[in-house]
Amino acid sequence: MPAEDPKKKDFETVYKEIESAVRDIEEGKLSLSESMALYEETMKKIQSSKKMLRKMESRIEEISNPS
Amino acid sequence: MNDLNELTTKENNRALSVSEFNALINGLVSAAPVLVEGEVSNYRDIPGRNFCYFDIKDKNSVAKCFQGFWQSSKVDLENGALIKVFGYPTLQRNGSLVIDVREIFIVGEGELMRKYLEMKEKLKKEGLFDEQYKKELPQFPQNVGLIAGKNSSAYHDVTAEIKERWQGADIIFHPSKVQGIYAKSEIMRAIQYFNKKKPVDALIIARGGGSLEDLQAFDSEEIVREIFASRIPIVSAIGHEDHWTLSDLVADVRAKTPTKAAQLAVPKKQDISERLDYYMRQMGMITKHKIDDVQNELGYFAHASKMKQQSKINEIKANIDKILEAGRRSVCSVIEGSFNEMDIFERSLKLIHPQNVLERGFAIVEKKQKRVTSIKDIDCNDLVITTLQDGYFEGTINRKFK
Repeated sequence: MPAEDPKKKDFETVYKEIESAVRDIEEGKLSLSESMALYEETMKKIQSSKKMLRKMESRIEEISNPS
Repeated sequence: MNDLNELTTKENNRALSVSEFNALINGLVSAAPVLVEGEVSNYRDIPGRNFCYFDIKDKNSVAKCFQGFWQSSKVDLENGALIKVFGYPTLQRNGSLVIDVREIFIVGEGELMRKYLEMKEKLKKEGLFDEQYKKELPQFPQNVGLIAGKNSSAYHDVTAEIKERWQGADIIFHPSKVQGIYAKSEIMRAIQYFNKKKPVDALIIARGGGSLEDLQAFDSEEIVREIFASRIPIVSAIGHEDHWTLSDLVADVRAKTPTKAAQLAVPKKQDISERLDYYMRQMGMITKHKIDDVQNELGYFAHASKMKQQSKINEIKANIDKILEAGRRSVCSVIEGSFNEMDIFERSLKLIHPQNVLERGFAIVEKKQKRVTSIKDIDCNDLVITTLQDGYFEGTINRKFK
């Protein structure tokens, strides 16, 4: 079942987290140590998202007996 | 009872009842549906009734038609309009042979356009095309449903484009007739199928243009209402700029072509990848500025401590530089581990900030705008300024001790 693939399921969540982290860092309200910790965490997320992108594969399923 | 031969030979001693006769004939004539084209005449729609009668005719002949509105939707017909009726020949109890109408297709373009505009106006008034009801498409659908003709170019265009742009979505294809007598019911069934049994993240209905007559199913009230009721956001690529079908107007997003529909339904992998690269650079740049800012802000007060930590800060900054240069390469491991120390450093800088010291009850003594740190710098009768956490006072030295 394609919908159950946990890696794909995660992509949107991870991407949204990255977007929000970059926003937080851009806003500049974090302390230096907070923003550096967030920077490090987000870098890891970006790396894993890029890996997910490389691994993606579309399948086509045809409904042969629709009822 | 179903076989005429059987009835007339084996039971020829018994006369058939009229009902039996009618049922017998019905069994024969209604076995297969017919599609008949002709001109409407004698249209009788009795107000309040759930059915209507009319005739269709050509130069020489007339066929009677009966339409029950529980079986197919009412189409306001005018005498003289050219139509095709699809239905089952049926012998009614009163002995008339009628076509029991299941579907009406309008043939003339002019008439089709009139019906289209009428229906458009009606549905618009009801608010079915209102922006407020349009559902938003997900940014990253995991699966996309596709309703299109089997082996149609619409099918090929959509699947090829999704595979090209974004490999992260599976395509669930539900083949359907997209024109002709079965189009309407098959499309409706397909939309229902996805909503009830296969709740995909987005649904594409694609056909890729056609004449007003070809697209008739997509202008039908039933399909429009089905699309409106769909819980899954729908992208349509059915009509074209010269003629958007009512299905296009009610869809959450409409596309000019099946390829465009695919582009609207899924993101482009390259765009997302570039976006991630941008975030990587952006974060690095801002974090670097932040380090500079903290250094500038606290540096003045932290000479001693700064010397010790400067190398650490420079190291981190150099690493961020590397990230910025490397762009899309993975280098985050380089800076790993530096952050705990940074945290301690920042806290120690704050601790030695003069304000913190003053708050703890200490004072700063200055003579001629220079800080006094040794008794040797002081002589009797010197004027000194003493700063506390919330103000300062002047005084003259009376005596000094060592």
